[in-house]
Amino acid sequence: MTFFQLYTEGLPLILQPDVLLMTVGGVFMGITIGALPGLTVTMAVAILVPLTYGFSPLAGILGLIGIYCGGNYGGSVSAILVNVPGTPSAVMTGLDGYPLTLKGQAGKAIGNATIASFIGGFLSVIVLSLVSPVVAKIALGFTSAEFFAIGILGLSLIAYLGEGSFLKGLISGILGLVLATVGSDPIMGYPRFTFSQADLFEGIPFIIAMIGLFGVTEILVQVEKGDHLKKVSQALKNILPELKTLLKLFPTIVRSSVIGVIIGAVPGAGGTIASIVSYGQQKRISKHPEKMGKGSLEGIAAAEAANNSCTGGAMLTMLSLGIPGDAVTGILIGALMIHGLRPGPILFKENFEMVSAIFVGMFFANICMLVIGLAGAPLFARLISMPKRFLNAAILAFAVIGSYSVRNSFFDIGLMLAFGFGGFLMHKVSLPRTPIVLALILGPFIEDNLRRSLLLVRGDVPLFIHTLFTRPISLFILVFTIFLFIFPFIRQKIKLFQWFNFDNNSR
Amino acid sequence: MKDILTGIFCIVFSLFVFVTASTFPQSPKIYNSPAVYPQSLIILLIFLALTLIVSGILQIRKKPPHVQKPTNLSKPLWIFATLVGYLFLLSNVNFVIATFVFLIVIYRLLGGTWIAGAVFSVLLTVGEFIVFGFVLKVPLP
Repeated sequence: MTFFQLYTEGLPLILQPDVLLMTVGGVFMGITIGALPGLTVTMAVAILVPLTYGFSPLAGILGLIGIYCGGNYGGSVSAILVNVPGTPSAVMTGLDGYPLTLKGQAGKAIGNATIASFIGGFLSVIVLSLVSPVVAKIALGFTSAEFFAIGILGLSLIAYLGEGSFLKGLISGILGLVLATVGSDPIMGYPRFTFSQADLFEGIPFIIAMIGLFGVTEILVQVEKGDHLKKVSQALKNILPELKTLLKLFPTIVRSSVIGVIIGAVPGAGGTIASIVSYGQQKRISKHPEKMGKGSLEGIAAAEAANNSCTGGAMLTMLSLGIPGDAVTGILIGALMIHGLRPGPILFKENFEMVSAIFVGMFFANICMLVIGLAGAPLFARLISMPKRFLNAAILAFAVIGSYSVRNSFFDIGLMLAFGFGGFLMHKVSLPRTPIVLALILGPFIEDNLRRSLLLVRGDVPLFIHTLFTRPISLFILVFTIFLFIFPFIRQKIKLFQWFNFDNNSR
Repeated sequence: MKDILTGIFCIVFSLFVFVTASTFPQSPKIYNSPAVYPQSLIILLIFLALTLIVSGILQIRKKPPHVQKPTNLSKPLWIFATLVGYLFLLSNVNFVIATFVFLIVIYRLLGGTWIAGAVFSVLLTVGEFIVFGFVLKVPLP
């Protein structure tokens, strides 16, 4: 495979009207949802998966990737305009964006955030397309022992999704793994925990769980909080940044993008950590650190480039190994499977055209984000002031229709509602919801590979453990996984993030 | 207190799952037994739940729980009840009527007026019917 084949193989697939339309629509929807605080990109992707059934797999997947790319950027719009980050990863953007809005320079802040997001996203796709085929090629030689280790590595994401509590993240993840055992046993075919309900024989469809946990729960939580949004009070001017300013910011953007891609590839680290680390790094090396937090374009560029370059990093592990880099890529795995594609090394071998098309589609999505972001900024600013009841009511209706359309089953609507209410109760006791979904996706994969590995050693558990720790790749993966599991404790102990000192009063 | 309740729920849930799994066919080969994997997870869950209960008790001893501001639970519960009602309507009357009624009630519950709700419901129901049913070809209930 040559360098150009990485992109030319999938190019003809991209140039289909439905694919182009879905990508543009996805990016637009993503920016809109990202800009509205309370509506998460995860929720949007989960709810909209069933609505992609009518399209070709590529159109459907790129529509969802468009939402992912657009949503990551969209969070910065409300962070800059009303100091309420639309997504958690935009929190650092607001530190410098909002002070600029107070100075009457909101347009300038949004323009720079858009360009930085675009460059970050674009660079991350280049890294993704160059590195993922290499990783996938290595992964082709994996046995069930390595895949079991990879599954466990995917679960290490739980350590970072506990919203402050590692223990609760683990509990939620184990609950998800238990729920993933519902349905036919992978080796014997015996129906487990189905209670004679035919709809459960194939297991709990994770898309149903996602819609309930991220769609319905999110709205119930918002309604309970009674979220209100601030009005945007200024017109946006001078959105297009000056070339001189851009050239000055370019090294910051490239540096932050590299940080973002690396952090994005670590399961669970995600855009929030990337933007915090990148912002901290920029403050450390900046010639004017005193200006950061008071309306510095450097701060905006560092946070936004890192945040958006995470998409490429997260997609890297998802496409080449089949493990999610974050919650959204977890849902994208589900979406790919629904469209008959299993992410992982086999996808590169058997469906390289599709992989190449995803690379090219991501480039296109980033270009769309740039154009829509710059041209549509005034519109998104107006949307932020719109009453959320319209969107919330529509989301609830979509959640119901989406659940039904998975298997044309009313049982699935009931199941989705049960997950929605369960998610609300989990919120009430501060139990994170994302690990459940992640475990539902990874659970069958882990059990299948674990039991196949045990089958190969005729049920000899000590021999299985010996195999795991003597095969170099599975050993490396397990050591890395153990590091990821214990990292939250190390971080807590040595207070790693205290080395950069945020001036919270400047917000 | 929340942690203790969560821990107790997890233990009750674990016991239920463990007992149910005990009824699965047994096999001397570990890889052939459908119950071993879920039961192993359950043992881990019980251990984690007990840890959560202990940490919850220690937290209360260290710092008694402060009185939390009462939250308005009635609205989310009403919205959930409306969703259950929507499921009932969908399985008994047709999509258009069920969706119109659901949207108007939800819109009102979310703080809108009846008139605006009616206009919104008509537009969204017709829009969904056309876009999902005809354009996207998504099967509607």
